Amino acid sequence: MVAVVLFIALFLAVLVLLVVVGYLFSPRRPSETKERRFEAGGPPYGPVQRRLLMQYFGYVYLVTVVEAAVGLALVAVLTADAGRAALAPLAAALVVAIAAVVAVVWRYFKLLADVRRWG
Amino acid sequence: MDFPSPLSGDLVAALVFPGVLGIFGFLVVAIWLERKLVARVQWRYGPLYVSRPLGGLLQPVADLFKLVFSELVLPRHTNRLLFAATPILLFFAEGLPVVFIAAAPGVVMAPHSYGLAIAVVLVLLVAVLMVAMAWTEADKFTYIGAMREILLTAAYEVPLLLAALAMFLLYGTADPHKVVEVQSGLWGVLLNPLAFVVYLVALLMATTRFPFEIPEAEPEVVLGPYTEYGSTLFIYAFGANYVKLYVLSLLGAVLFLGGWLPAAGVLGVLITLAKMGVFVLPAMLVRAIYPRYRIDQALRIGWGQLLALSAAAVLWSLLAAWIW
Repeated sequence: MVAVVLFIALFLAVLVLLVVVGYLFSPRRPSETKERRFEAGGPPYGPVQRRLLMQYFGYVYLVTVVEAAVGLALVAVLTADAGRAALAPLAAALVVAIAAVVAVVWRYFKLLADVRRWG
Repeated sequence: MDFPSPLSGDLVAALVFPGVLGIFGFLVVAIWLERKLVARVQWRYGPLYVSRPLGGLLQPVADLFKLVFSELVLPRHTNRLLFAATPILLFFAEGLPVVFIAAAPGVVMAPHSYGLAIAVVLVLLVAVLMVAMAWTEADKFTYIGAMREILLTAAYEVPLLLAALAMFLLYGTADPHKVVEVQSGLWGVLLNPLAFVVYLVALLMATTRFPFEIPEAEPEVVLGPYTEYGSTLFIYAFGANYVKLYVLSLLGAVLFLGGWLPAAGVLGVLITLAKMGVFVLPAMLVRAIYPRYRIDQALRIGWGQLLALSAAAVLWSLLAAWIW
């Protein structure tokens, strides 16, 4: 268990540290152009020729989240034979993951329901 | 079994291989190897300017330094905290399955009787974070790239799972140590070659290597899900696929190539590393050989031939286990 905690702590620490170092020591010359959305070279003009429908993207996200939860549930069932002790942490992890998803949906539900923001 | 080193086996696994040092080391070596191999096929030298006596091995390190110290731009239209956090989480999640994979006897962070099964499931869960990253970037190229990634994931994950399942059925276990032990007579690749072929193709799809480099197809969608990123965040967003290649190669070496056999200890770790090359080298070389499939062609392969082959692999395993 110590090894797992050490791995996770060290791995995350290195990842965050590199971002912080880059943020603190890299040159910074912010400009409006740099902070714009990438538009493949030119600023958008005129009416769009073909609109990309975005409203179904949320469903893709939902499906991938549900799939993840089901995957974890499967693992929990598989590991149940190995002993009840293994089931408890996985079940706890599942509850935390689902709670996080519910919290995000709860917080942004109104925003998600506003179809004008999807275009 | 204890690992012959001042550190215990699980700490070696966490700190050196397949842990933190292994992941970052692989990132450097894989990028260098890919550029060198492709250059060789195309009659070029490849990277040579930095560390010429080492064949340009330090070029990726120089590139990584350059990226870390280049300006970190957080686009105005995004949620900046999520924009910065998602690539970190993606890179981290791609590396997480190594916790359950053994690189030699005792060299595993969390030994578990279903360790390899858990690793496979963890590999497949990461698509969520890729979608979250593209969502956070809020750009049409990232949306299209993420949509392609999800379609591709849906096409390869069933065959990948079935290929792994075929081997678990054959070995009668998903414990990394026992899986390798069973292969002391014959390697998995010989016991079930169909599952090996499915696994290799699914690995190429999972890591979006050519000919499945569809989500980030440069001429079509700029860089797909990584379009808005620069600086260190680009390393994480783009490097996450290399980490996945690392994890799947390690998993493949244990599942199909007898892991650390015929040795143990430090030599066993080196043998596992060498066997990973069987998966890594083709993944690097195909870039120079194959053109890119269209998304519909890739999906047809995934849902057609690959799925049929993986089902056949499961049947093969059931039959072999029955006879064996």
